[in-house]
Amino acid sequence: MKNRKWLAAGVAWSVVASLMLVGCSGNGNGNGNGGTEGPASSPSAKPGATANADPIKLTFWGAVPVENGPQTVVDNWNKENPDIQVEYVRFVNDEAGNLKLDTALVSSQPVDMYVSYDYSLYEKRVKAGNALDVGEFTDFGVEEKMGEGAALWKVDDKYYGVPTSKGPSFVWLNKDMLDAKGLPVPTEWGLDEFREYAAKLKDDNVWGLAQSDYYFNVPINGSMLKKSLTLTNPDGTSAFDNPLTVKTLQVYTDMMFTDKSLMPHTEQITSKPALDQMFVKGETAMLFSTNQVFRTTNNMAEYPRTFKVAAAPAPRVNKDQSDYINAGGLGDVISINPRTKHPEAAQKFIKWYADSGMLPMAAGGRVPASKDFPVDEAVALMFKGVEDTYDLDSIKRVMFGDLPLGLSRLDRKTGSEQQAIYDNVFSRKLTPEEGAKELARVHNANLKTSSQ
Amino acid sequence: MNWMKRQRLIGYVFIGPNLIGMTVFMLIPALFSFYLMFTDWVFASGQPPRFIGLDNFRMMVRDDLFAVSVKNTLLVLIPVPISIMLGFLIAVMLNNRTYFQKTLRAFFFAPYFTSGIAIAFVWMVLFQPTNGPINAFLRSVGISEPPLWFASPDTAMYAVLVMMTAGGIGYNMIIYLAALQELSSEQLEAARIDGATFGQLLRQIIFPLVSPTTLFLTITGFIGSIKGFGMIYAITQGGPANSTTVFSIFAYKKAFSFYEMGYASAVSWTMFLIILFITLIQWAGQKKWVHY
Repeated sequence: MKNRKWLAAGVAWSVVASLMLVGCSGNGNGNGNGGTEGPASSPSAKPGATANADPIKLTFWGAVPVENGPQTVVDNWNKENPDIQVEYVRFVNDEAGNLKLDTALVSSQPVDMYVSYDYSLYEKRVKAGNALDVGEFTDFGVEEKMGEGAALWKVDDKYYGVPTSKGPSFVWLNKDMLDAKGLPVPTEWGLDEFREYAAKLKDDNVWGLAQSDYYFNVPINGSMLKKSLTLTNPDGTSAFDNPLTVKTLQVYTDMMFTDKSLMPHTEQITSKPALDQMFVKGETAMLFSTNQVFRTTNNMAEYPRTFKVAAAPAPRVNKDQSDYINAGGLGDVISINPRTKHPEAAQKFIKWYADSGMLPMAAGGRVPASKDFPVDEAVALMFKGVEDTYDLDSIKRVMFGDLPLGLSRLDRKTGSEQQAIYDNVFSRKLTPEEGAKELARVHNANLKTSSQ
Repeated sequence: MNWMKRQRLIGYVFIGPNLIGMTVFMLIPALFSFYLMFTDWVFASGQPPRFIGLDNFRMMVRDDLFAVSVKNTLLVLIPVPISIMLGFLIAVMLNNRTYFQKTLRAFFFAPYFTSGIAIAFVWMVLFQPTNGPINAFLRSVGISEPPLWFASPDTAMYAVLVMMTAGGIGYNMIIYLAALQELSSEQLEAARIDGATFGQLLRQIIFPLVSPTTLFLTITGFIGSIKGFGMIYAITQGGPANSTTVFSIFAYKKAFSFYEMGYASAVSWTMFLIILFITLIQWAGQKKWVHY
């Protein structure tokens, strides 16, 4: 009997101890002046807790590697603002990394500010009450600063974050290879010209083109964006089943299997080559990706190269397409966690970051979105010491030009389910026509579910 | 406090840390997920779990991808008996005096103590369709269009099965080796004197004598295969076109890609029930072939 009591007591204490461990971990910021409160605190906590001798500590979560600018940003801030010290925490912008951030947000880990890179995740965080309405801060007009493109990030007609950078997806070019084949740097092109370039540039051990996983959805989605950000027809049904989708799937299939100028998609997703490194090593003549490739092309110490880098806009499906919207626009949206004890300090940091503080991020290709930002300084820093290795005219034309930009609001579930359809099309188990129909079917099914 | 009580107390102190870990990381999450499978809870949505009864199970029955994951999970059971048989045969060979006996043991056992992810990446390189050594060999012997292995929805599962079979051999071999060392040499000697051939010895003496080990390896092998996640996810993430989506990857995606914790919990408990069912069948069936 006594043994049972001991056992019961032992188990009970174990549970108590474990719950205490869980409880303790919920408030990792032991500093009384730390940034984040427990979940019970009111999301609408009023600012004003800054009158304290100890410096305020804020934690800022972002996905850019710390050495690619964020550490210099927070060091600069901390030097200028001894009363508000900011710590940068990096999460990887993939499923596991975003899960880590979302877990931190719901379990009241110290997250005062965080960056969202994807609309659907951003919207989810807003709807879950994990972002403050930045419109509450009267001295910061998001649209006034960032332009009308910021409106893409409105949720229920309010801003719950400040988009801080801008930039489209575009095609990186090995200019030396283009020159060798007598090809000019394209200023506008469609998929037919894109395919022709890739076929001409292909060589032994050199792919004509490499592109980020599932990037064939860029021309497909870009052809529908003007109609609707959710890629639907006026009657609310999916717009995926259209001739432009079919053509895109056909051209990419031909590039993979007829021209062999593009690594077959399924081989790429299972071999996982480092595309940016393929590009700087001269293993591919063109790379369809984003400005994050600057991290590699600017890093001449680790990735030395002898060729010049040029840029071309993303190809439309048809060259003369007038309603095409390029993937891109304003991004890197910084939100404030409603549980922060110091929303005013966080807002002060974000304002500084957007207006001038993010300058060190330029070397990694981040183009500041704020109209008050010294853009020339950012451009100078972006190419500092490597100016001669870029065709600056084409890069500036693409990155700072006036291409119509937009971001799709396709829900994550549809996007994920459509990946399996792209896999089947590029394994030639579905024809492009069947693929377009399947893309629409999956989209319609999810539209129906979400409307219910 | 008498000596006996003190001993018990010391025992509890020793198991205490483990008990805490088990409670926090296994028991509480398991109980929580049991509750969640009857709810529509979406993680990080700001909404509390809502009781929906058995709706998650109804959804599962209608979910095409769940059906695909069931089929694929049944397929990954195939490597279990194959790797057990191969492990047994290698153990028998290495239990006798052979050249490089210890080196060969280490060679076969190496995959077991190597990181599964590292092994997966080695297989990824071996099966690389364009530059991988397996396809290079196949081309050299005249097969102009060798399989695409992981890169094709038609062959990805076969590549996974080969990888899992090879991965299981080392562990099975080492367990069998331990069992073979325990065999009574008198029984084997008696069989030999009675004129048993090596094949008869293997089939009628050695295999029945190590049948408890075989049962153990079959049960743990099936459980491990049904729960298998890391190596498959590292290479294919369940693709291409969901062709390698097994139970655990399906549940993982539901939970951590779409945050559908209620549905993912229902899938996980279904997986548990299937494992339990298969284990019970094996347990009941042992009377027919296991000799203690």
